Amino acid sequence: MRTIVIGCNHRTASLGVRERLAFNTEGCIEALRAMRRTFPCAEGVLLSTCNRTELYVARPVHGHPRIEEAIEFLGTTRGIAIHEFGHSIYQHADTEAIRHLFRVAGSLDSMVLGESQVLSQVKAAFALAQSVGTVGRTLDAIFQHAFVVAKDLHTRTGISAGKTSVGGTAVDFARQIFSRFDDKTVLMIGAGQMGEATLHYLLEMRPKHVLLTNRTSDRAETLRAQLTVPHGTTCEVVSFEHLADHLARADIVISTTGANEPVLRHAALVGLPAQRQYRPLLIIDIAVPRDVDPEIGSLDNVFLYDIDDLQSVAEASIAAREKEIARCHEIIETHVAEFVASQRSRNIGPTIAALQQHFDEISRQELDWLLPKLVECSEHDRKLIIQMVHRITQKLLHAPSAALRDKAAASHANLYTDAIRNLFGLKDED
Amino acid sequence: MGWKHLISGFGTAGLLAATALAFLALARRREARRFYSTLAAGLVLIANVAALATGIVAHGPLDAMRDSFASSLLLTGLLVAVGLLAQRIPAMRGLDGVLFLFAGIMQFSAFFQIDRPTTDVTYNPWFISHQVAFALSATCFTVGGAAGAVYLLLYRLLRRKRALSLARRLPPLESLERVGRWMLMIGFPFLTYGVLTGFCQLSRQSDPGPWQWLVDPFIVVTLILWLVYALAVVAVWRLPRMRGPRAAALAAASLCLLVIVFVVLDHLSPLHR
Repeated sequence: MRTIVIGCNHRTASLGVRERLAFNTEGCIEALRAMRRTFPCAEGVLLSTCNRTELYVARPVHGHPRIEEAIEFLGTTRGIAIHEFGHSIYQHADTEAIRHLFRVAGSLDSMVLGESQVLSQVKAAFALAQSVGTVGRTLDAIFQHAFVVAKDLHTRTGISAGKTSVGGTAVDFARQIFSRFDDKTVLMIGAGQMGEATLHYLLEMRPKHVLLTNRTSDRAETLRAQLTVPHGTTCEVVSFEHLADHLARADIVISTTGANEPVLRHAALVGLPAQRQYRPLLIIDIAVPRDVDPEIGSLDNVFLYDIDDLQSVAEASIAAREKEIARCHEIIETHVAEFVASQRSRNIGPTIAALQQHFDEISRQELDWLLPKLVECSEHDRKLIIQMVHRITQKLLHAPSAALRDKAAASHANLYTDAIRNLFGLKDED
Repeated sequence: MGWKHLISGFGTAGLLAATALAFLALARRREARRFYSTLAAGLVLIANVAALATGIVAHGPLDAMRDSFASSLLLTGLLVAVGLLAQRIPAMRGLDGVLFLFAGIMQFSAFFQIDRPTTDVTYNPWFISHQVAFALSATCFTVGGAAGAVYLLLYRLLRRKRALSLARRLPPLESLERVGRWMLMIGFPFLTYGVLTGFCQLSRQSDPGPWQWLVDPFIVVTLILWLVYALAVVAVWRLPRMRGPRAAALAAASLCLLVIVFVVLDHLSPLHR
């Protein structure tokens, strides 16, 4: 079998092209079904995320689709002419295709290096293709190995160390200060989009209370209605006028209002630590211009982080991850070499079996022709003739089978299997 | 040079190596270094336990523990054991290096306890519990002080928004504060018991006179230490202002005082024999 991948990603295609080539779940199912109808001998997995659309195909050596056919199929399925997206498409075959998938699953090809979301997306795409029935032995082996590679990269290197988003970094800070969250109160001031995203991260920690406050309570109410609050967490909208009282209750504050002046001023909060019994207070100010007077960060047990602090930490994480790239490539190369070697030895087996079957078939046909003509022959003689034919085929097959097994691990093993299949007119596997 | 010198020398070197490796593992995030740190500290612990066990088998538990060298080994062993435990407990991550460092200091001080003459006092049945109580309180206060030192480091890193990759490898501030608070609460009764048994013994002595202990540096500083820890207990539980960095600083400073008492003043004391 030959493996190919065609597709585009955030590096090769503009957002406009990516949008047009993107598939939703139903679209993926339809495309895979169409592929099964058009190329019945081929296997396929369609990966479509916001940053990439890729079609992984495994087909018999002389089968279809070829790379051009696969690109055409992709365009036809999405109703786009090739000249509109052809320049954005990359293509890889065999070992390169395997290497590419390992890089994608290990998030080395992602916009945010080391992010874990892409692995779930690859797993979901694979599961979807399995459910449609377009995954066979070849793609199954490659994708299963890709999942192992991704896990290996995440555990053996620092590629996923640290958070690269503002929300994730805020949670990292919270984890440095608090050991548990089920007794903590999160106060969100304002209803900005970035604040909401950060709140989603914090909700994953399952705090005890979430307090929402905004100058106009309607927006806070809307936000509360939209929030998916985990079990055991209570969420309430509180009045903006009593902000100081809520601050005394809160352990984590996210401020994200659109105010032009600071909402929390140092002079008004000097007594806050005493009021809070000197419990630690984490303030995350994501607003621009800032909502929190920077002087508040000097109060006892108050930890204040603004958007620049969070972004610089996220960027430092990205820089640290980039240092791990070389190690990741080494690990991927080892896996690619292992996988390709195992696949080559696995491909030899079916060729030998097909050769054996071919010889057996010829023997059977000749015996079927000969034996009815030997009327005088005893049963014992007939058995001897059958045995002799079998022994001849076995002896004839021994040398080529042994040679094929010897070449199994060699890089040119495919040449031998292709030659044998062509010389003896053997059908491609699957 | 006897086997006690060897144990002290080997133990001090081993614990200093364990300390360095633990700090390097923390700073550079290399698990192999933590393994070697565990190995070095583990070997010292085995050597100390073996030395203690040999003494107990040879002389019986009471006579063995009358030896000041044995009580130094006991204290070091306790610190190393807690340090090894700290490597396994997430809430105590990063405390191992500080604990090994103090264990190393204690092991070094054991040099000066070798062949220290014993007096009649050591034959008092209360003496053993006095020794053990001080060893336990010192262990608790060392853990608390280590937690305090790490708390101060993490507090500084988080407030200054620097070296956050190092901060990620330390336990949360809340855990460190909890460890410090509990160690204080557990250690203080042992310290009080140790001080009381010491005074009981002093009151029974005719020589020197009843108030002579007021000029003994070890006893005076031990009393100050007890007072500091008593204030710390009250402060941490009753005064909210003393929470967080202030409590951590107090625990770390008290630990320094504790080391001065046990390592330096013990040798300058004419009474504490």
